[in-house]
Amino acid sequence: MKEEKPRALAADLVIPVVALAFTVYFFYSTRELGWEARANGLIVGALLIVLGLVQIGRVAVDYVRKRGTFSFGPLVEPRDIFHKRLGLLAITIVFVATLPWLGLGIGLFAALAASFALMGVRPYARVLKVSAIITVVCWIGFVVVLDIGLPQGPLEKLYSHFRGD
Amino acid sequence: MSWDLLGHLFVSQLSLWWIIWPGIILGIIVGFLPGFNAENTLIMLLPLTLAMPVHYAFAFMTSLYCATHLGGGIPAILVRIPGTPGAAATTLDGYPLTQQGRGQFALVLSFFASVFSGLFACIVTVALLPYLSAMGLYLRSVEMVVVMLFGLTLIAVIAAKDVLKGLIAGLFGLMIGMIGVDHIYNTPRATFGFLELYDGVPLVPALIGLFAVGEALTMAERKLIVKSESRKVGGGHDWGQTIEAMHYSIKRWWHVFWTGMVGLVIGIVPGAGASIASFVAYQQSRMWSKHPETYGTGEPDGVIAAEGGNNGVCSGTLVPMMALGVPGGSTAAVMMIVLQYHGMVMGPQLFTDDPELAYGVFVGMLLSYLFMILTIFPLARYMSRVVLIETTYLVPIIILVTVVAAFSERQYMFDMGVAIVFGLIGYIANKTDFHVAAILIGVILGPIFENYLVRAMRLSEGDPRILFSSTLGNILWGFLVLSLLFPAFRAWLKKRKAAAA
Repeated sequence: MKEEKPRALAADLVIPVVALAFTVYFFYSTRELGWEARANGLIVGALLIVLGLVQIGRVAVDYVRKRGTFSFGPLVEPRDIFHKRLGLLAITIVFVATLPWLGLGIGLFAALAASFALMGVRPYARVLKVSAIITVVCWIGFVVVLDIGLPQGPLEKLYSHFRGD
Repeated sequence: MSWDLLGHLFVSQLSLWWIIWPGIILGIIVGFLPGFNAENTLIMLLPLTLAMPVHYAFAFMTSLYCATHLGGGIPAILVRIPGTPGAAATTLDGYPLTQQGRGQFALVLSFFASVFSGLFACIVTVALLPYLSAMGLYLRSVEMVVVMLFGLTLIAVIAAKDVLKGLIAGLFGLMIGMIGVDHIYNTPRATFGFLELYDGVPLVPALIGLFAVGEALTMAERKLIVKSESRKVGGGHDWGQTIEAMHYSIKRWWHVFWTGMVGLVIGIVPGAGASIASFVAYQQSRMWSKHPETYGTGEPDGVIAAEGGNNGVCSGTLVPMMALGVPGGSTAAVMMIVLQYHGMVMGPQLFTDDPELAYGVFVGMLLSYLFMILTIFPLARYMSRVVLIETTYLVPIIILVTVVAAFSERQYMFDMGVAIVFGLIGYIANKTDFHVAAILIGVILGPIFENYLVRAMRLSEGDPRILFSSTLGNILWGFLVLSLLFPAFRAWLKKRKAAAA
C-alpha cells in the first residue's frame, strides 16, 4: 500500500494567521469611527476570528494526535523550485523598484532575461532572443500604442525626444 | 417599435460593418489584457469617437464594449488570469478544463455562451425596453442587498470541499474589501497609512496578484499547464473539440439564455456589473444543477453560466443610460460623454426624438455579436495552443507582464506592489487549498454589499426590518432561501430513493 505523506500543519496556519492579524489591525484602526463605518467589519471580523481560532485548534489537535508534522511542506517544496520561486519574486521586486530609472524597455528585458536564465532556459542566446522579442512586443503595446504612462527610462526618453514631446 | 423600423435599423447598422469589426478586434485584445478594460480604452479613444458622427461612434463603442467581455474569458480559461473582473468566475471551471487538455472545448463554450447570451439579451432588451428601464427603479438598495447575498453565498458553495478553509478565505476577502474610506463619513479604514488605498483595494492589481502571479508561481513546478495524463488530449488540435463544444452549447441553449437574463437584469441596476452578474449566474447554475459536485472541477455548465452572466450585462448596462439618462456603469458613463458632446438628450425623449439612435444602439450590439461568431470561433483552435508553451517561458512572462499591466488602470507604481503582495497571498492560498476564488469574491462583492447595506440601514435609521420591507425584496429573499435549501432537499430525496431501491 502506498504510504501517505504526513500533512504539513504549519502551512495550513499561514492564511488564518495573516487574516487574524489583519482583522485585529482593522478593529484597532477603526476603533474611533461611527457605527456605520464599523458595523460590517465587526460582524465579518468577529466571524473570521472565531473560524480562525477553530482552524488553529484543528491544527493543534492534528499535531497532538500526530496526524502531521509542524512544517511548511507544500509552500517550500520541491526545494529546487522553491528557490526558483524566491528568485522570481526577487527579480520582480527589483524590476518594480528600478522601473522609475530603467524604464520599461531596459527593465523588462533585464528582468525577463534573468528570469528565463533562472528557470533554466538554455542556451543563453535563446534567453536573450526571447527576452528581446517579448520586450519589443510589450514596449510597443504599453508605450507606443496604449501609452499607459509608465515612468520613463533612457529608451522611453529617447522615444519621446524623437516624437517631439 | 415597428418591424419596418427594425429592418431599417438592421440594414443601416449592417452598413457600419467597417467600424464594428475594428471595434470587435480591439475589444478582444483589450479584454484579453488584464488591467485594461472598455472604460479606459474608450477614454483613450475619446478624441476619435468625439470626432465621428454619433451613429458611427456608438457602433464602434458598443462593439468594443461587448468584445472586451468576451475577450476577458480567454486568459481566464487558458492560464487562469481573468482578463476582466467579470471573467473571474470563468476560471472556476474553464481552467480545470484546460488542465484536462480541453482548452479548445472550454474556449468554444465560453465564446458560444458569450455571443448567444449577449444576443438573447439584446433581443429581449429591444422587445421590452420600456419595462426593463422601469426595473432599474424597483431594484433599490434593499433588493440589491439580497442580490449581493446571492453572489456571496457562492463562498459557501466553493467551501463545500473544506468548509472551514473556504469560509476563512471568503471572510478574509470580505475584510480586505473593507479597506478604504467608509461610505458615510469618508474616514479611512485599515489603509496602513497609504493614500493609494483610500479608494479601497484596487481590484485589477488584486485580481492580477491572486490569479496571475499566484498561479504562475504555483505552475512553476510543472512542465506544462496541461496535466501530464491529459497531454494527448490537449495535443490534438483539430476541430473536434470545437464541434463538440458547439454541439454541447446548442443542447444547453436554455442555460445560455437564462444566465444571460441574470446578467441583463443585474446590468440594469446602476453600479452593479459583470463581476456580480457572473458570480450570481454561476452560483444559481450550480444550485439548480443535477450534479453540483462537478462544479469547480471542469463542469461545462459552469463556464456557460459565468460567461452568460458576464455578457448578458452588456445590454443591461445601456438600458438606464438610454431610457433614464443614468449610466449603468463606468463604461456607459464614457459613452454618455460622447452622446452629450453631440447634443443628445438621454431619457425617454430620445426614443421619440431619435429612435434610430436609441434602438440602433441595441441593434448594433446584436450585429456585433453576429460578427463575433465569424471572428472568434475559428481562432479557438489556435488560441488553445498557448497551454503547450513550457512553463519555463510562461511563468516569467505572466509574472512580469501582468505586474506591468497592474499599473495601467490607475497609473500608480503602488499598484504593482499590490499585485506582488496579492500574488503571495494567492500562491499560499493555492498551495494550502484556501480557495483563491473565495477570497476574490469577498474582495469584489464585499465593498458593494457594504455600500448597499449601509445605505439601506441609513434610510431606516438603523432598523434592520427595512431589509424585509419591500415586496420584490421579499420575493428575492424567498428565492435565496429556496436556492439554498433546494440542493439539500434534492440530496435528501436522492438518498431516500436510493434507500428505497
